[in-house]
Amino acid sequence: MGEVFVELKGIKKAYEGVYALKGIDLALRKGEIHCLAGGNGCGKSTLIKTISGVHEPTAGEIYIDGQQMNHMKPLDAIEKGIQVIYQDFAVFPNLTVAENIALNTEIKDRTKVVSYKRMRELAGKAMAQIGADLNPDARLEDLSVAGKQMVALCRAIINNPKLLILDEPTTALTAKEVQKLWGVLRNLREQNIAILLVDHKFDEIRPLVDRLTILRNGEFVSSGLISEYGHVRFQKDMTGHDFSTEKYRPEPSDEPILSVEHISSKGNYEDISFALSKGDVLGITGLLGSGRNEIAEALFGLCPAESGKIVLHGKEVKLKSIKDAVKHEIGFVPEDRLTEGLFTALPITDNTVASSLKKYVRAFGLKSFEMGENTKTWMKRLGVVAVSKDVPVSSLSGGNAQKVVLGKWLNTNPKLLVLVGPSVGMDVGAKAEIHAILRDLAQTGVGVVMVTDDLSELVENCNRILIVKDHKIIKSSDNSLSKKEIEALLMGSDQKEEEA
Amino acid sequence: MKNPLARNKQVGTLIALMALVCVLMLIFCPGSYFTAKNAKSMLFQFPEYGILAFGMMLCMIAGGIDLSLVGIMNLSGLTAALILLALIPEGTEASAEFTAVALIVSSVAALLVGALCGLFNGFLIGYFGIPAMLVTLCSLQLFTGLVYGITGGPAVTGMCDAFKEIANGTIAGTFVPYVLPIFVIVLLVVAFILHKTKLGREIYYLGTNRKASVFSGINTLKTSMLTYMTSGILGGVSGILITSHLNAAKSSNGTSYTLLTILIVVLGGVHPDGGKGDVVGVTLSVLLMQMISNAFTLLHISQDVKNFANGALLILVLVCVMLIRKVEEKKKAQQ
Repeated sequence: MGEVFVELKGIKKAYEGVYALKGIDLALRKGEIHCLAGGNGCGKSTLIKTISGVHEPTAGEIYIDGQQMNHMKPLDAIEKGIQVIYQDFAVFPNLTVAENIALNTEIKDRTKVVSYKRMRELAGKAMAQIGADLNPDARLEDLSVAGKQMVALCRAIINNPKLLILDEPTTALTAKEVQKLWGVLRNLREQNIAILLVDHKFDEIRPLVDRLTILRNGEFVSSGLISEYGHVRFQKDMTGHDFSTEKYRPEPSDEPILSVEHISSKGNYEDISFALSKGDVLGITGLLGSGRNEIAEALFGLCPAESGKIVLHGKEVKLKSIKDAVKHEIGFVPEDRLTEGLFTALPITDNTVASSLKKYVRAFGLKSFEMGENTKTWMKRLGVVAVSKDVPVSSLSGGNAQKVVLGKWLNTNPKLLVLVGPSVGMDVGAKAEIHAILRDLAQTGVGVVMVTDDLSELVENCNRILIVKDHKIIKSSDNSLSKKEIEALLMGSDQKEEEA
Repeated sequence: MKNPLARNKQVGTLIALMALVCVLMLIFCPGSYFTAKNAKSMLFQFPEYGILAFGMMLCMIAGGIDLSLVGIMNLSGLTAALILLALIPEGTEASAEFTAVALIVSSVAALLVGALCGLFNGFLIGYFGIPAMLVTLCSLQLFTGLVYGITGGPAVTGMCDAFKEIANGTIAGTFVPYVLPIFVIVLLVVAFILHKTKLGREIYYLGTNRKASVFSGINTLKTSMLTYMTSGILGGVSGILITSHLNAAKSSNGTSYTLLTILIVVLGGVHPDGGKGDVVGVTLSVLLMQMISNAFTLLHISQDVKNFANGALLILVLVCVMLIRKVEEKKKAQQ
């Protein structure tokens, strides 16, 4: 066991009298990976900002290397060797890998003349240290999310940190990329660096972390070695109640909703066929770039099929544009709900009616009252927690915001709902609520198709599963597959993928 | 669509600024500001650019801008003047009925030209996704160049007296100019479009988040085209008014209005990023700017200095808008 590097004692933080942290103790040791978990709004982000000197705690003590810190500023934390990698990485998309990595050092050393040679050397050194392999001359905007993350890691490493903090590093990564990141973090642990990780996917963190601390509503719930935790305890500590992970297995039905026959789109997907009956929840999974998203997009006219046919409720439909899809009563919940699904500055009501304005047109004006009433109905049925229907969506949590996106489409009375990453970035409780809604929808006869990376989500909620690889379906199953089997199919040694 | 508290604050600020102008004028030239004659002259002036400001407002709420409004105004004003001159040549007399028909025909043609100009802008913006700032800056030159090419430089003049009456006459027996009811009608129509129609909602959606609008199944091309078309029609209305007011159609009429309308709209609470603002704020802002502009005139301040002051004021307002947003974001981040 390494020595304690950072120690927090009874940290409290209040904003305008409301406590976001209610007395947290935490000890981070060198050469140890510590995971901080908790639902949305549990205080994880506030705690990170306290450690990195962005926020000053209202009460409590912070010790770094045994020395008590008072009025710590972000610069003090950096000087003490604390580096934070935030969710958005804060990289410059128009600069190259080498420039991004070396930038901080260049500024710190007050170099006036730019030497690309030195930058490349610095970048090369940092990449070697973490075991990343990126082209130093590639522009950041051309890299994948995982690539950008590696650059952010290199930039942190170059400063010789003693504590590295990663805020939800896996949100946008595929399973394979997560494995790679874990490899890097293990490597850093060997170098006696303390690592604090925010993550709330138990399966993901189990093989990596040494110690786990769980917060809920700003309160300390439990802490201990990872071996002391199992699925049940983790979920219970996260949410405060037990969740049954009962799988979704509807009664088989012979009432067809959707049938997709041999659709292809060059470079996107090839010869895709599947069918969906009443009650079915169909899940599509695959690695990033496998064509899984494009298949979902084909159903919403975003990536139209060039050949083959799509039959919805016994009628062949042509889906060449979003307009066609909306005409045929298909709804689409995009992966990036904040930028593609919602008008965050507008109230819940405006978001709810955005796709169904036609319903409210009358001879003179719009039926505003009905808009409000319908919104209230959906908020109640979907369990949206908000002060009122008039608050902007930006004030809602991730789970509630996603319910508003669902409400927007349900208000159009759709025949088919296509979702990409329906519960990305949500905590266990919010995930369970979204899943319950989707199951209910399927039962009432709405076709539900979801693309997901989250294998637990897939296995528990989809009674039909498609596994996509290299733009083709490699396995179509009525869900007798286990997570392990799906993983094996996804990973199935593919040299081309390794090189990429 | 609106936060009542924020809106009341906006309205309150505008009314306070108006009061401030009154107080200052009471100190500096009480003799000439608070007179019936001055009030009358104010009533004649603001509808012209007030109507333009509504066009600017629609485009800015939709997340764009219409810099070509003055060009549209002059092109449609010229259209009205030429058609009128073709029907009733200079120096000839026509019957009252024929004059009425000629006025209607030329006005409708002017509005049609305005609509076409707007559709042109809206198509380029909506279909190709070229930034509105660039499209309308270019089309401003295009429309202005067309007017210059057609007139050859000198103003087109000599329209019949009835045409002059539109912007210079008053309703018989009162001091109320015709332009005032025209402004009020336009105001009501714009308010209806923005707050009570599907198009109005879609303008707010488009300005708030273009991508989400597309993903929500909103036809953003149609919304863009209709928004800029409406703006173009409003440019046409202003074109008729300014041509009548000056009794001359030329390419250089009202060139200071582009900056003035942006100032009015931003001062009226329309956010430069789109999605925010409404008719009440912009209307009050039109009145405020009229009071300021009139005060400048009475203090014998030249048009050039006015333009300078308007530019400075716009920068000041924008800085305030951004500062307020920063404070709000900080508050939000702390929650």
